[in-house]
Amino acid sequence: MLPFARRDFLKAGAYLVSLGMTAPAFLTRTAELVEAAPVTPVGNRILVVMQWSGGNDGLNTIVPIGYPEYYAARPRIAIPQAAALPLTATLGWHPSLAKIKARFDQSQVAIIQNVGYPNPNRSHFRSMDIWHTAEPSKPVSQGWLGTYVANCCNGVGAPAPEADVEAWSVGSSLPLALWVQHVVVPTISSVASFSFQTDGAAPTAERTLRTSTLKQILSQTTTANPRAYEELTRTIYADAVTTSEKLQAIANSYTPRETFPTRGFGPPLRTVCQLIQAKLGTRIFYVQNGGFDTHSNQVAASGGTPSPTTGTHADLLTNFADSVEAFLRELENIGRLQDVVILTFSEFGRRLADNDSLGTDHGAAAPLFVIGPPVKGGLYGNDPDFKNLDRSKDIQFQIDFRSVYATIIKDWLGGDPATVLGGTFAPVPFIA
Amino acid sequence: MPLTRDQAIYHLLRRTGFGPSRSEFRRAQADGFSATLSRLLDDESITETLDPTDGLGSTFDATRIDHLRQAWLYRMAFSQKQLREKMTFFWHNHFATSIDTVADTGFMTRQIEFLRANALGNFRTLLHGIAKDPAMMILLDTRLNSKNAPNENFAREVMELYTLGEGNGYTEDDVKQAAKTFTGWRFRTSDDPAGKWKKGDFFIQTSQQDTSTKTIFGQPLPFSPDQGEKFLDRLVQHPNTGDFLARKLFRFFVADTIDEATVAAVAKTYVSSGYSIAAMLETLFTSPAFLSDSAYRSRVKNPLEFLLGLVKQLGLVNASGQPTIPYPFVVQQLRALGLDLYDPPSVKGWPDGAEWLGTTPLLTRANQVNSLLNATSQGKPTYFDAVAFCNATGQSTAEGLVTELANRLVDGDISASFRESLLNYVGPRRAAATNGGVFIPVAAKAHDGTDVPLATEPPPVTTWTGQGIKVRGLLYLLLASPTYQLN
Repeated sequence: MLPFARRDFLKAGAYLVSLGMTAPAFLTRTAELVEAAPVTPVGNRILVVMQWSGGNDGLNTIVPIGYPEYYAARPRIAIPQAAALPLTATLGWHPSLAKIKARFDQSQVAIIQNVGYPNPNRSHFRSMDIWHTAEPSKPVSQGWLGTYVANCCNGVGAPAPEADVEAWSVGSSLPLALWVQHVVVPTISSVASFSFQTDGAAPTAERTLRTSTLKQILSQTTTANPRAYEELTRTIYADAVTTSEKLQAIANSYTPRETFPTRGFGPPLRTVCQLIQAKLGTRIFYVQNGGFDTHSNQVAASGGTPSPTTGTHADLLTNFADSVEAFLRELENIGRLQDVVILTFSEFGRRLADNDSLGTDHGAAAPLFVIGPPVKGGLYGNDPDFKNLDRSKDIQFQIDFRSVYATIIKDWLGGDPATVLGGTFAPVPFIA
Repeated sequence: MPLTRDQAIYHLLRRTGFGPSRSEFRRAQADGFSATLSRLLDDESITETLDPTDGLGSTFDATRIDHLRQAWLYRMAFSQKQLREKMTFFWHNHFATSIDTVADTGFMTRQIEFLRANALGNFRTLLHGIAKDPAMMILLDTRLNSKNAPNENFAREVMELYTLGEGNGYTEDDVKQAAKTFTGWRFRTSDDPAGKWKKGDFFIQTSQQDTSTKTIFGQPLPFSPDQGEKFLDRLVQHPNTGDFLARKLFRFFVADTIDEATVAAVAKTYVSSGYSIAAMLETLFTSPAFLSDSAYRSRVKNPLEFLLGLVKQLGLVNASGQPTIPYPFVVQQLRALGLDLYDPPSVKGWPDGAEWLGTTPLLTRANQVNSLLNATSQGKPTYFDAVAFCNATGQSTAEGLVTELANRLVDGDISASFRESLLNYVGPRRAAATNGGVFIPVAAKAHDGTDVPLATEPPPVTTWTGQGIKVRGLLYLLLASPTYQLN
């Protein structure tokens, strides 16, 4: 059995691409009208996971402005009440998140509060693995999204019909979340890099001949007696050639109109737009940005006076907000806004008390965001409970992260959470 | 169809090493399969002629992990004890310890040197040594295992990953009880000023030892100061251990589809030889399964086998003509393919077999071949002189060259259609034994099948460029082929 089936371009699109032309506007608009149906069919739905690596300071993201405990514990780095953007009587937004707030005000953002898991682990690697595998009790080698991908064609939820690539890791590595036996989720750093390079010294005709000969070889039984894995190797290899050709075609025919940040989440989300436009049937995209491990100088200081609304953490949040806004706008441009849900997470939050270095140490529970028009916007869960900190004086979790995963799997991807997560977790009703 | 003599030699060298190089093949071809296998298994008398700085010269810095990686790659490529290096990697993958967790290059070096010294030795010695190895004791928290808070990490993995296999003959209760036998196991974190111990030396902190009687595998294990060693010996003697190791060795060296008779024979050797690893390997490599048609080229090359195989088969040399590895390139590309030595992704080690396949890895491999063959600096090949390589084959016709390259790179194991594609790619099959024997293809076939004389191409900048295009293309098509990805 082929690991992935194939979906061809619309004939017109492929024809135009082969001529190296851009589709005329009337064709694009028609496509948009067809695809922007009010309720996105399950097969068209896309999940974008945004990993904030390092442990995001949740308390300085959704700021508990109504709690004196917060200000008492963070004399140097707390976001002042007046600087926070209004959310509720007791909570405010970090001022860098104005664009996310605007989306929240349009009911496109769910804030899930105090997400975590029992007996929180404060090791980056272990806690990240726990989030990736949805298994806090012991190390396992299979990720939750990998498990979803491996099962989504076998009765667990509706498969994306004829997907060429079920999932992409956009970045430099494949996260454990996408690991699974027998299905290799591809990693892509940029659309341009996913191409078969050729001999730069050779003339064009020669290079074309080399590529066509390679394709010919890939279509043959290359040895007298086919070996174990020879067919599989050839199939996947041929898949790589097809995918790279589609991606190069899309790279040549489509340039996102929005301007994305050039660092952090900007480039990978821009690449996700190109991959969506390549129409490979992909349902899962995974992007990462690091730098959230803000043990020191998470806020700026001038002349010894901290400036809590600027600095490293503020820049990270700005990058997140700018990148997401550009992404959502571009999705609107290409008529896929209704089809996308974004899930953010970090391996843990940070300690309530700040440290002596204008930073915070590893903590436990923190809020996360689910973003996109299909989301039932609002605030889920209670405010952080400052009266009931854990032994390390960290915020305790109230919503298990697997409840968030379960909701995504069931209500967005149309899958069976129990199969993927190995257990039942109360859903959080954030999908409209 | 039985393997030809040369195919059997290539098969043995590919599985037991990382290449082979031309000279390794020629020597094994002259010695024959049995003598070669004996030399690989019993390598104690071989005097290594390796550069003592592992090819790195005075710049070698043992505290830099990338230098350690380069030094090991050098050994993998050029050591005469190829099977020892292959088995050192096997054990590195088996007792998968990461610099990421250990964060001490000295401890990593100590572990790899221990694995190398015992790679073909006795499994009991290996298991006892690794249990007391500081990097392992960091990795699996043995150093934190104390009477009042037994840490189960090592006790679980030593059964699950190192000896018995997951859920194969032990219970959760056995894990808890076994953990207590390792309580108080520690290593020295610095040298003793009085010289009584050195950093990394093992010792038992008796005040932290659990002194209760344990029940493991249904048998009481009364307290003794060496209770941990006693438990390890139970594992060594456990009937599932030989079987577990035999299966893992079979998959690593022979094929993914297990031949039960061979596994049983290897497991039997484990017991009869008193846990000798070399003896198990001898049983394995002399089994009919190893030389069977279904084992031949049935494994997907791992990134080491692929990249070092390229380096060795192409015979890369440095400016003074000495065999070399383009280190930054190989280290970087190994990482791109997901095999960073000293940094396995989890305690389970790296993926294996078909898990190395995937669209991105295959595209990456093709591009690595492309870089290796085609990169130039200042008008000269950066890594590899394809024309010199092809000249050295002594072939002067397209047919002759295609046959010889296929023989050297894929044991001649190509179909008629593959061969036909390569010949069509080269162009009209005209002898070109001119220009001092240099192979010069005279024309290329265009996409539509018409002949495109080279004269219509841009004039070559150097003789190398003009002559190299076709032979580089030929090598690319062989090395980037699906066949080449199979070991």
